[in-house]
Amino acid sequence: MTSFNDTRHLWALGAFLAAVGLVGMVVRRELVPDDFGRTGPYRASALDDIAARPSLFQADATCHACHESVEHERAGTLHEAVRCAHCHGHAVEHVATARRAAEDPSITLPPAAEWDGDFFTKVDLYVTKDRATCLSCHAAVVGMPADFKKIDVALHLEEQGASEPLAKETCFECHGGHDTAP
Amino acid sequence: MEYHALHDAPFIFPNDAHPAWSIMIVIYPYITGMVAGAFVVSTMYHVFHREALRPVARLAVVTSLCLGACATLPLLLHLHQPLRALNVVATPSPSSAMAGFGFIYSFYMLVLLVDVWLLFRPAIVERAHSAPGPWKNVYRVLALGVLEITPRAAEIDRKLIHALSVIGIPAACILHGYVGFLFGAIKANPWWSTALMPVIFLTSAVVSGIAVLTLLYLFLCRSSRMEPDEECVRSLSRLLWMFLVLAVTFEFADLLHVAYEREEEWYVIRELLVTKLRFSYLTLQVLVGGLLPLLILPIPAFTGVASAAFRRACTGVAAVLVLVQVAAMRWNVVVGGQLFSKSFRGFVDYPVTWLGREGLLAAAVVLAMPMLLLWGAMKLLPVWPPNPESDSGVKA
Repeated sequence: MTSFNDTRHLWALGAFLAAVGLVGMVVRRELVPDDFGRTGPYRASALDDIAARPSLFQADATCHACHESVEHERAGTLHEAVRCAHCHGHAVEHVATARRAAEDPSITLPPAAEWDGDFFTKVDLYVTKDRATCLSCHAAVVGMPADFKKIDVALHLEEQGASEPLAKETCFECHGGHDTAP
Repeated sequence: MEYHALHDAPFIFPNDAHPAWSIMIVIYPYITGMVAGAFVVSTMYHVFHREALRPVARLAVVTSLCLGACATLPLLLHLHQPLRALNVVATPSPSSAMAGFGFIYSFYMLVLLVDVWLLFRPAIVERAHSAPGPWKNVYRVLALGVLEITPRAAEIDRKLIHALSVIGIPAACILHGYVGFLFGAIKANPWWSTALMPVIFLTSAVVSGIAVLTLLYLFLCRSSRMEPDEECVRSLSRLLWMFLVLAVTFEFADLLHVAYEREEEWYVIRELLVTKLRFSYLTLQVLVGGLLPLLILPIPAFTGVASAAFRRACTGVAAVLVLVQVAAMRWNVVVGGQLFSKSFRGFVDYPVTWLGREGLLAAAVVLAMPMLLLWGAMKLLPVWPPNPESDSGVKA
């Protein structure tokens, strides 16, 4: 016959585990946001938080609103498909300042900086003729579509007789940036 | 695709350029494997009544608990923001493989913890009465305030330990099989994506658990000037040899399968094995850690040649080699699988560093942690079996 004394330790163990479980449930309740899981396995209001953040990306149309000549230069060229931000940065501050300048003639726009060579640069607006920018798309790697304009840079510069093959701006001896001719 | 394409036109996808899983992810299955393996040894005594393993039965279960307590430590270090680990516990996604591991790990640790508590309750209660000073209170807390053991309670505990050991076998198998599944289910990586992966991980886990337990037993006997039980060492050697045969067979079966089928991934895997992993795979995993112990272990396991000390030395050396084999296997799977691009056309390097959160030094500290815990546990609990005449009824 089993008495309570024989199973007292198991009751104590059960109570201990139940207490741990209870504490775990209370902690979980505090940790999990109220709207978690309402629209999926995430905090539903995170969508509003993210939507409320300022957008970093500008459409090319925003740039072309002022830089009409660039739009014409690029029209019909292969670089029409390349976003302005790729070679000039996100330009968030630049566009905001430009919008303020449109209403207040006393505001002058600071000139664009030189690209600092970092593809994750924090520079807001820059210009670049650095071949690293060109080669980020045009260096030949296996797997590119056959009709993509890809080059082995050393071979290409030799074939074309570049006068300063080691110069950063060597690509611009023959090519333009907006209009890629020839 | 031809083999030479690897050299002529290497191409690495941008997301393949840096191996994301570090040495910490190598250690994580290594420790988890030992958890499962050590527990399997304890069940050999508690469930299958292999009396020869009585000297290590308690040590096995405490070792398993100490290793288990540290199993998630490498993951926390790898997360960089360890509080993120709470997300997988607090809000587990039903489609997340890692969330599944959280449940399995928690369940196994619960079974193990209760098993250890019941197993050591007689000793805890005895020390709650006899321990000096504040230690008495420590043991009172450990005994959850219940300071007597009736004969009926001891009988109930014995049945519960048996039941928990039985439950623990599939739990331990699932625990480490699941670690293998985490890799095996990554279909984009042909070096990982195989249904054999859970079985390969499980058998190597048991191997590493037996090896670490064997070494611990030999080391502890030596440090406390105790003569190791000859039958126990022989039995451990047999188990080690048997599971090593299984582990090596499964590992080769998987490789043979890929090699014989010669699908497109074989060319990159072959190149991986003979270049990047030549030392860690061919030398360490296959020759030094696989073949050599398979040749050494039959001496202590099946023969009576030379002296008992020589046979023990053979067991010890083989156990060290087996631990090297399993560590190399984990390295080759985790790091090796990230060294080739999913384009199958290029390789990257894994930079091994000494310092830093995921460096070799941190890895050594993580590996030492379970041993430190074990040292503490041995101060607190008697891991050697009690004398049969003073047995309180709970099977040691």
